[in-house]
Amino acid sequence: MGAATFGEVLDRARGHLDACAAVQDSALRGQSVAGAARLIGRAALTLSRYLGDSAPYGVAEAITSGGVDPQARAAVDAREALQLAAACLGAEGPDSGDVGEGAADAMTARLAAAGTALAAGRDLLRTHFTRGADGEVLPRSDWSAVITSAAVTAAVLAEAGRWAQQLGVLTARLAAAAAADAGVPVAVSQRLAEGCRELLAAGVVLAAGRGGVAAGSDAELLHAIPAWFPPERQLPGDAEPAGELAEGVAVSATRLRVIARASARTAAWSPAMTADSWRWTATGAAVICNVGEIMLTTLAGQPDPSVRGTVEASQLLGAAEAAACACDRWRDVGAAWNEMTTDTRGLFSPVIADAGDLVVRLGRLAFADPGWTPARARRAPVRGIADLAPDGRRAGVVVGAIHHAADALACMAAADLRAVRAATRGNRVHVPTRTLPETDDARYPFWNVTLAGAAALTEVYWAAVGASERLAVELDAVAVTMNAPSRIRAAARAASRAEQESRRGPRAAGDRGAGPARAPAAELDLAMSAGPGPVEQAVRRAGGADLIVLMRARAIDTAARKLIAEAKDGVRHMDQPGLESTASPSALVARSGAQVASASFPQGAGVRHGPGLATPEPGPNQMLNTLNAPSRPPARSTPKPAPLRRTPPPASGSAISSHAPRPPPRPSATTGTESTCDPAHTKRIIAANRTQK
Amino acid sequence: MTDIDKTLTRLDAAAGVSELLAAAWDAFSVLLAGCRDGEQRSAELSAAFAFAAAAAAEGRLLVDSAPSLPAGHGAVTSGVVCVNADPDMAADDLAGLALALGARMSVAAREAGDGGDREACGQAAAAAARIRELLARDG
Repeated sequence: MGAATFGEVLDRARGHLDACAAVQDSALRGQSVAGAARLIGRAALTLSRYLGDSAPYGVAEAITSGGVDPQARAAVDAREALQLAAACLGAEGPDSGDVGEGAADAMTARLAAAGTALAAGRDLLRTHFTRGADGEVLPRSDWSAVITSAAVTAAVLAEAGRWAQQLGVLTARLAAAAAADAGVPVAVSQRLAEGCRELLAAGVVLAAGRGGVAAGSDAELLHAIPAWFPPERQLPGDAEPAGELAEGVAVSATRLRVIARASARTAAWSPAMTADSWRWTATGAAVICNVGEIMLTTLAGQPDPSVRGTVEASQLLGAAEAAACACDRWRDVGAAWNEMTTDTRGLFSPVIADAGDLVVRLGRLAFADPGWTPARARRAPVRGIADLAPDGRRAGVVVGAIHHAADALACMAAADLRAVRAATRGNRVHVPTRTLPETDDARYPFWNVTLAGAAALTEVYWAAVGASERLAVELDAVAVTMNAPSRIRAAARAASRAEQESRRGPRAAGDRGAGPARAPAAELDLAMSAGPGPVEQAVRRAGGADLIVLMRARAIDTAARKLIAEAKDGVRHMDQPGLESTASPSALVARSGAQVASASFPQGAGVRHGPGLATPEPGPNQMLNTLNAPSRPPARSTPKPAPLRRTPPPASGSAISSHAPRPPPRPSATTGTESTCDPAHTKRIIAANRTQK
Repeated sequence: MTDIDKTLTRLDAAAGVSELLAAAWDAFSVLLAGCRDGEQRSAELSAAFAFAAAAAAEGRLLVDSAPSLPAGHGAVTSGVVCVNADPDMAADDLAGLALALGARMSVAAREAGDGGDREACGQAAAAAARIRELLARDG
């Protein structure tokens, strides 16, 4: 069982919200209306916090800064509208505390559950961040950069827009019910109508801010984000079929990514982080790469190209070659540890178990023994192509398993590099005295590793990082092309890479809202959509195209389809008088979200349109006035990133005579992994990240 | 006579803890070199050789920590170890060496006078047992 994903939480919320739509209008009266309104207000407040996380700008900053892109500006406008809606609906009123708890009517109960799930979704995303020693917000996982990427930001805004629309329609029903109920004061009906207007405005603003860009692939990536907490370990079972083996590999890989990163932070002092463990994991990584190479080579030899789908044999062989290279680099790491040790010994690293599970499960995929282990007693021949991947689906499963494992190895390599450097700085790495050229005192069996030795160790780890990353990138392309189950990791890595590159890019801090590049979206389109278009087919025929070129080709095909669709829509719109000025999505984008919103709703007093929909009593351009209100807090200043904490270099000349574990230094009380839950938390993450540019 | 045979002979003939530790250190070196060589020779046995090599390196470092290991031992090592070219036969030979090594180290772990030697020999015996478990035909 994998970790809960954002999509699962959101689906639960959406299920409750959809159920609200089925509630009859006749059930909406009196206390039920008031309670439901407050719960909608709370949901609006939660949505505004999502938007605050995505676009951490103050209103004034969003208006005056030329660097804020239309999408971020729309998020700020919508956030303000949602906060107004929440205020109108009494979300934070004095008697709002227990609404929904044990509610008797269906709508209130459903709304309470939807609001709780919506808030849980935001908490889930925030588990990927933590606080540093100085209170600064720090990324905590390989999903952190994905969450702040352009692709996921766009998906969050799209999701928030849909929610705002749906909540707006529900509020309209409540307003109509209240207006029809003589027992409900007129002021309450008016506040409901105002709340409805703000919610619908927020939805429109967000839709306009996205410029009508289809965000299906972005949404899939958003929905795939798991909670930071690693899933429970799944021990390899007896005779697991290929599908279960691949699922187990995915679970182990997920755990390994989280655990390797977390345990690296303890390397300077933890007795569990030992040379034996690092040697063993390097060996396991080499075996994983070797087994991956064997399977990729076997897949490349598939005589029936239809089984491979759109992937070329040369692509698989390229990945196999990358796996062989990564295997060699990991063997170098293992060899480097042959002459090094630490002040504690044994296989106690938290990553050992999952690295072992990966070895066993991949081995069982590659070798014709469902009970395979590395021991010679369980040796088995390599599976032939008919056994390994009899059809395209199984080929995708196998590639997905290798891809997951490679992705985890890339993460583990980077984490191990950091860990080993920390251990070296912490005087924890030692070499036998016999390996040193001359020492003044050879009474001690071990001596601190020399600077040259430490540099050599770091160097082999750097090589393993590079080779593992290359393997993962090769498999990203293969997984995307084969539509393997692991393709979401390719999308996540692409989004994360783009986000990290945008942070390192030339844009200045004042330009922070210029909008991340759309490359991830294009890559994700390739990752998620099925069926190559004419441009992509031509590029594939030309051969030698890398992932980025393929993704661009797919993006071009997508854009062409969209253009054709728009052209058809344009023809239809031209046939209808008065619609020319709003037909083009680009025309919407060119205007501010607030302008669009203010022009999209009638300006008259609470006129009813039809049986259930009421428009609120407006002030002229109320949103714009509200956005400019002087009572708004000023833009938050961005915190400075904390300087890296450095451990003094190893003291030369100190020797050890035993390997008794040292008492670990007490970790700083302020440096830790506590979850951060205050509303401004993620704002600071993004602000800090962008300041680093 | 292969390096494995020579090392077995030395292990048999070792008298006293110091001599045994020196022979054990060399035995782990032979195991390490032999396993690393075997790692590249057979796809089916590669994983067994790889993990056995890691255990051999660990065992050698454990012997390094024994107080009675003669000073300066291992400062000069021969890089080439002659083992059987056939990976199956090499695995058999190496498993046999690991078995003999483990037996001698287990005895030393009980009988050595120095506590440090006993601890090192005991852990080295466990490492040798892991190597045998990985490389033996019957596990």
